[in-house]
Amino acid sequence: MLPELLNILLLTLRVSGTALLISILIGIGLGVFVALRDFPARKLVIGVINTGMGLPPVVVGLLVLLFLWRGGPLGFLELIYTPTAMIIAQVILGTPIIAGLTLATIQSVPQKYKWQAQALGAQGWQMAWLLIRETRLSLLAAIMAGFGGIISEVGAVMMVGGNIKGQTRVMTTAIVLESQRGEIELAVLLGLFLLALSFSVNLGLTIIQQRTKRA
Amino acid sequence: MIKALLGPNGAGKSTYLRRLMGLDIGKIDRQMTMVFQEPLLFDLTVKENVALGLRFRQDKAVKEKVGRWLENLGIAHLSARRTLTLSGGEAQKVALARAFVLEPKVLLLDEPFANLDLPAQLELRAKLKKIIHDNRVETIWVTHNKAEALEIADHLMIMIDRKIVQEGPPERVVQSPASEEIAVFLGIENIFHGRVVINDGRSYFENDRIRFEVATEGKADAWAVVHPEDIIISEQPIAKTSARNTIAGTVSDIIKSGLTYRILIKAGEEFKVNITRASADELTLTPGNNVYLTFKATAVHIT
Repeated sequence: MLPELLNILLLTLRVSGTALLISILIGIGLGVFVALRDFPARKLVIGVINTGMGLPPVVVGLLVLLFLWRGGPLGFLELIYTPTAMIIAQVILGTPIIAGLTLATIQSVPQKYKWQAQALGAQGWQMAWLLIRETRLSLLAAIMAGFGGIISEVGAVMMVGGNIKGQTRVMTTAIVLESQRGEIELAVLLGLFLLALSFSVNLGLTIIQQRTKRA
Repeated sequence: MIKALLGPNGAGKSTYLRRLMGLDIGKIDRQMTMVFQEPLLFDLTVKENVALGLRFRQDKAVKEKVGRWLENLGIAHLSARRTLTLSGGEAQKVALARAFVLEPKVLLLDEPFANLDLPAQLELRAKLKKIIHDNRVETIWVTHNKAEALEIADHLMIMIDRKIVQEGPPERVVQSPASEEIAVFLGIENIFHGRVVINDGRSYFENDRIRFEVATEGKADAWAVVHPEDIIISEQPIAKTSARNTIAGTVSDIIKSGLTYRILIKAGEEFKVNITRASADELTLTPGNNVYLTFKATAVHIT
């Protein structure tokens, strides 16, 4: 049982960790870009991001399933029921959360600070870098929110991963399965592991966040 | 060279600077930089703030230049401090160092000291003026403070209602405001409306209440300004004087203002004259006294 537990734990870390990293890169990049640049359909993009912050995981699962299904448009990639499919679903869930909170954070920086940065000669990336540094506390909170959405999610990974033992079974899907099978003790144990995992990642992020606050 | 842009609040001075800097369209000339009313420091250390613009330019001599400008503004001891812990005056010095370190050709200053208390304002004003002149930076310094503008300006521009309505050497602008609006904004006293007529080859400003000699050509619609500093007040007509105008009047009020007195005199029009406390005691002025006002025809400014 223990090797299997460890396996589940490692797969959870791999899937959600990768999904989080990709969500951070896309989410912060997209959020900063939309906050600082004016382009056609900007309002539409903001609307899509904000809607995406509250996407129901099962709907995302269904959507990814439809695309990756053998007969679907991306069926030839043969990704269905693989960890990669699960990562894709979690990225779709995590990215809008991080992008939306990043967008709000960067937009809330008073215009005069952006003018000052421009007056000092900041261009493109330099402005983005400066504002990301300036708002790092809020951006770390955005990352924590994204991580929370990803690690706790069960519906999407169940649908696109299939909860296959040893291949696509992660903490959340295992908990659902074990509790349905009546293995309550195992389910509770898994739940505690999941909590501990979530807690330690957030603790790590919090330590980074609060260290930067030291004046 | 410091050009002061002086105007009332809401005249459009800040917008004018932002447009010069290209902030509204995002097209920045890196030979220019700008310091705002607030320090707008970023949440970094003092030296990191000062280094920002150089880093944006991938400058090779960041350390040396930052060190020199922290020294020039007397804030080297704050170098490693986080900006949240600075006082208002210290923070604005950091903002100035951050601008000067870029060695700009043109420096724009938007009311840089308006948020500071008076002693800090006076200290920084003199310091900044010297630094600008020593480094020969072309500067446009926006202010709504007339005293500040007159102290720092090599060239004075007056902005009212989004337009530069007059510019020139500061003494000339103050001596000869181009319109009544400008004169009122500059706080210039003894402004009268009337006409200039020529009589026996001499020019006189006149209206229903007063008439005195001036030194300009005839004009149907004219404003006359007699600066309070150009008027002599006396109890008897002054016998030997080259001044062409001596007007009798009555003291209507005396306002004490620190070490000087402002005397209001009804002489057809109401004149204001500033005198020292000692002169006021000597003259034993009281409301109702008859006095004489003496001023030169050439001292009257006509627009």
